[in-house]
Amino acid sequence: MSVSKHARIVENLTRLAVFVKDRIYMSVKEVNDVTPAPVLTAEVFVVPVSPSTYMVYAPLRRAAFLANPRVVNMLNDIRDGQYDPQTDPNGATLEFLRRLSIVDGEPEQRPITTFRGEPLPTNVTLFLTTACNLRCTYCYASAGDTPRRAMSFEVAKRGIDFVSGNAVRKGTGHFDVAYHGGGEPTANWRVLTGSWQYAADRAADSGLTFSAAAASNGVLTDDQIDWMVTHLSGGVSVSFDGLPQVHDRHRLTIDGAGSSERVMHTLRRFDAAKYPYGIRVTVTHDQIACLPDSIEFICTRFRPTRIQVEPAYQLGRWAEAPSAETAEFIAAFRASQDRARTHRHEIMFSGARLDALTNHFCGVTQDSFALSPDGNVSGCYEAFAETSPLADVFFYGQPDEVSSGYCFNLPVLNHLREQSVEHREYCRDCFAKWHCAGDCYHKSLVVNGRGEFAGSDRCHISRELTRDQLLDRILSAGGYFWHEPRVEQHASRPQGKEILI
Amino acid sequence: MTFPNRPRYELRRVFEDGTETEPQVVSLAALPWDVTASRRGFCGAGLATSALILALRGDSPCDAAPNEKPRPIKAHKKAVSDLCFSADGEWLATASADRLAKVWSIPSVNLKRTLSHESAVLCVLFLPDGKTVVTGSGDRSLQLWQIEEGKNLVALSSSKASVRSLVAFPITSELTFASADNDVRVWEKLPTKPLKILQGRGGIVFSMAVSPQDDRLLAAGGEDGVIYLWRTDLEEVPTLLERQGGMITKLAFTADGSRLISRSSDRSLNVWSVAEGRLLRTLRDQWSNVTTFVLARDDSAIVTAFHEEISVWSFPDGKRVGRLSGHRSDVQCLAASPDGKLLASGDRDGVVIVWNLKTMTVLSYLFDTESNGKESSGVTFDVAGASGGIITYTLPCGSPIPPGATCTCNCVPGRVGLSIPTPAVAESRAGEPKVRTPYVVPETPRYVPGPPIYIPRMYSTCTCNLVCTCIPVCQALHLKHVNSTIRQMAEQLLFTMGDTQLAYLSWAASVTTGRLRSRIHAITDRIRCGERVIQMSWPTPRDCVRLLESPNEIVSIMAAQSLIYGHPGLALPEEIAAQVEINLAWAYQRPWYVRLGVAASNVMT
Repeated sequence: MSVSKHARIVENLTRLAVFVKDRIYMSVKEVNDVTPAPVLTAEVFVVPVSPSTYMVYAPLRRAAFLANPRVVNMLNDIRDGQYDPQTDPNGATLEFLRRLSIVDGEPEQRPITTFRGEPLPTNVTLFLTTACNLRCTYCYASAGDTPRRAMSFEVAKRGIDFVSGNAVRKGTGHFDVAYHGGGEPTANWRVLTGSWQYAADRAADSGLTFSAAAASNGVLTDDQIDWMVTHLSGGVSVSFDGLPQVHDRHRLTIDGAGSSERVMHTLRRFDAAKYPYGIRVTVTHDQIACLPDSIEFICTRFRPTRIQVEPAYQLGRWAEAPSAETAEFIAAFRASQDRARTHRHEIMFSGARLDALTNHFCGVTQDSFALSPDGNVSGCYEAFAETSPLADVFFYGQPDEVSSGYCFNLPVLNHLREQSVEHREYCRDCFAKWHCAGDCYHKSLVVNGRGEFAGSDRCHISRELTRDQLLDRILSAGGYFWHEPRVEQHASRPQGKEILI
Repeated sequence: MTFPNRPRYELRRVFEDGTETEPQVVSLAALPWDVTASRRGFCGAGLATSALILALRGDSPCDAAPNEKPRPIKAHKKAVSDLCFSADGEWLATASADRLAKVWSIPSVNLKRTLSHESAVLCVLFLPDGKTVVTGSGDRSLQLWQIEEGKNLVALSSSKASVRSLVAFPITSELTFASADNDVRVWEKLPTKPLKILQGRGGIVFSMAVSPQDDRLLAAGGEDGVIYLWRTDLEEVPTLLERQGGMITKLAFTADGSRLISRSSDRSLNVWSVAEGRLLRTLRDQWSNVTTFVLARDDSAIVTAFHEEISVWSFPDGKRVGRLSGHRSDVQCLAASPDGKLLASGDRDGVVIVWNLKTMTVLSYLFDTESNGKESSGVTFDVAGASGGIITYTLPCGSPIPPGATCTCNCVPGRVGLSIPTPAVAESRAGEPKVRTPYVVPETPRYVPGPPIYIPRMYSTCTCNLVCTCIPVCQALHLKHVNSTIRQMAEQLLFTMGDTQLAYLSWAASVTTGRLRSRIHAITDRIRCGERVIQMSWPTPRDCVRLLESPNEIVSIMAAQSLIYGHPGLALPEEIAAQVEINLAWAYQRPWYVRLGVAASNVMT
């Protein structure tokens, strides 16, 4: 073959190659021109995990995964409408994001419920007394230091009438009665048992069902324990701090003796009856290091359905004590969680609840109806008496003098309703906001004063522990991603008038 | 209303270092949760004052010659005589000639309890209930301790001689155990006298073992070179296993209970058939020179020690599968954790090393400040446990830190308190111009004296952390200063340091309260979210110059740093430039700090 012929062949082949390349390029361009750009359809948060790794979290999709910065920036570009297909040449990442509904999914429904108008609660919480048979050093209510106030049967009866009437009016078919704080509810035993019987009768007369629950310090007689087992179908939350030496250091009887033996007796009796009860562990700054051992102590000896661990509130008798909301608490909580899991238990902190998707931390923002011993209406368990420092914020109603119902101060109630997380500027970009839902409003007032919420040490704890939970979920789902979409997205079923946004 | 401190985790562009070519979903397993990835090194970890003093003396751990053997970090002052893991693997007990036994939590290796005798503690045992430790001593006593409260339950001195070996009966009872001096005595918890005494020929019994399959079968051996096989439930004469080989120093049953391995003073290992009562095999060649041994991983491995070297062998085929180097004196005792993942070894110097048997690497040295002199120094590093919890481990200075671990300080002086930077130490370098002590002890020291039960984790923390501050901490403590320029400088400098300083910011948060702590958390979050220095936010040069001679030395240093990093290329009058030089004198002597300050990736113009 001559040289010139060879050169011609090469030239032709080159032209062919350029032609084919141009055609392919045109085809790809045409395809790209007609393929719609991907759209970000989820609220996405980016949580740094290590210097070059981020956790991408879409809370309302219940999806999380770890990714390199490229993925984060790609999501950023998709949101800004500047997605470049060259970023993800084989399209695998985009497809992955589509499967998680983070990209090109259905619009998200934010878990927001709001309340308006006159409240129609179907749950009543009765603060039966400010008296207590213990003198816990960290009592937020300083129970026993103040003059004894006890709820009368008439006050309880009016509250039960009100919520049961609402249940009939709303057609829910059910109402709840809870016995709580400011003192030990069982110290007003006559009203406790009498009001339960009245609620049972009322439910029977109205064709309703009802359940009752209580919080207790666990220092009970056998008769009281047995009554609770047979009557309080909603369970009992018992305060117990774990190791006897830890418990007895802070939870003292009036005589100054430890109360752990009595409480453990109660727990053993509950266990024997297979009664569902929860344990609430309060951690003071000086006992943080003992928390893992305390949790192990509980897990190996008792069978609670739930163990809640909270740093002691700096309120009441504990107002001047050092804070336990520290990095040490987080470390101890993690160590305790490890121990609990070895015994097939799980401990929880109220601000870190990955399974909840809600805009309400507690009932304060959703018309919680709690009655003080004098019969006035509070939205908060920690504002249990009219003399509480924040009573003007949380007391929003009183018995109506002309009817058997209540008069509500709607401006105060509406102010409480506006404390749900979607109204908090501070929480806007926090990845944990739909879980902690803005945390406890009472505590935020204590920390921040009456100005707008500006964060607290509890926020840090909630974020750290929520991040732990996310990593756990990813790990248990195989190590790459977690995706557990919910059909029903609302963790809480609030009462009152619900408006989905 | 705007909140400068609010958490910001919204989707936004993050920093890419250019090494990634495509988007990638990362496996959790690929992250350095375990001790597996690259060392962050001291350089990014900030400065601790004690390290700073060491740097002035010219013996900074960073300057240590790579081949120089690290100085030992001790668990005990004297030789370690025995080790024992608890049945659940969560505790390790160590016994030593320093008259002490100690209990450590595992895997966090924190000292939990110190138990004392009047003479050397020769043996230690965890009862199967996991709460009680038994110690035997050269003072001829036997003591039972409750670990949770550190209570001495009972002390017995009925032995004729030193108590040299202890063994539990996990199947029969959680509270039954045997001790050996010249005889073997079987006890129950809280005993007053032994349930039974098994008498041999009268020589010292050095070792005992109980069959894992039938714990009524007890083997004991010692000075007379004979192995006694007793049925503890029967009053019958023991079976004797005899061989010419000298004293029996160590005994162990295999997991199926069919074989018994003994180590004799002629340094041979002998394998016996328990059922037949005869010697099956003598391992001499590859096993020669074994001073002690332990079976691990359900008998698939046997770990032996000779002088300072520990070898791991596959068993029974006898192939060496690994060597563990770290001890600098003779290894005296070994113990394997019940799950076979960890090995503990103790040597004649009082050093106890916890090894990861899977990776054949050092996990940590057990570190008790009370057992280490001034000459001991080490490094601590953090690793995240399986659930993300941070565990701090300690290694001798100069040891390579496991890849991926985060160094939390430069150096651990041996004794709490000795590293307090007194002016005399700071000014001690002869022939050098007098320099000021640049850092102050925080007003709220992290270390809070109190009963040991409340602060067990503190012992494993670097002692530097207890008594000194470092630059990021000091800067963080000024984040809520009344002077807005100082606040601005502190914030800018923290952003300049970027995410290399998060451990120190966490520390700073832990020593503060209220709004300052919230502020530090907020800055931490913003750095984590990739926020960098905004160049135009530095205070003006005029404001910085005003603070150059502040009586608060931290402020004066921050002012100098702000001039350098916030206004590069600015021509300063000679007098001011000299003052900046003085203020930064400390920083300039530590090259890693200077590097840290000008890290280009942390600056966003």
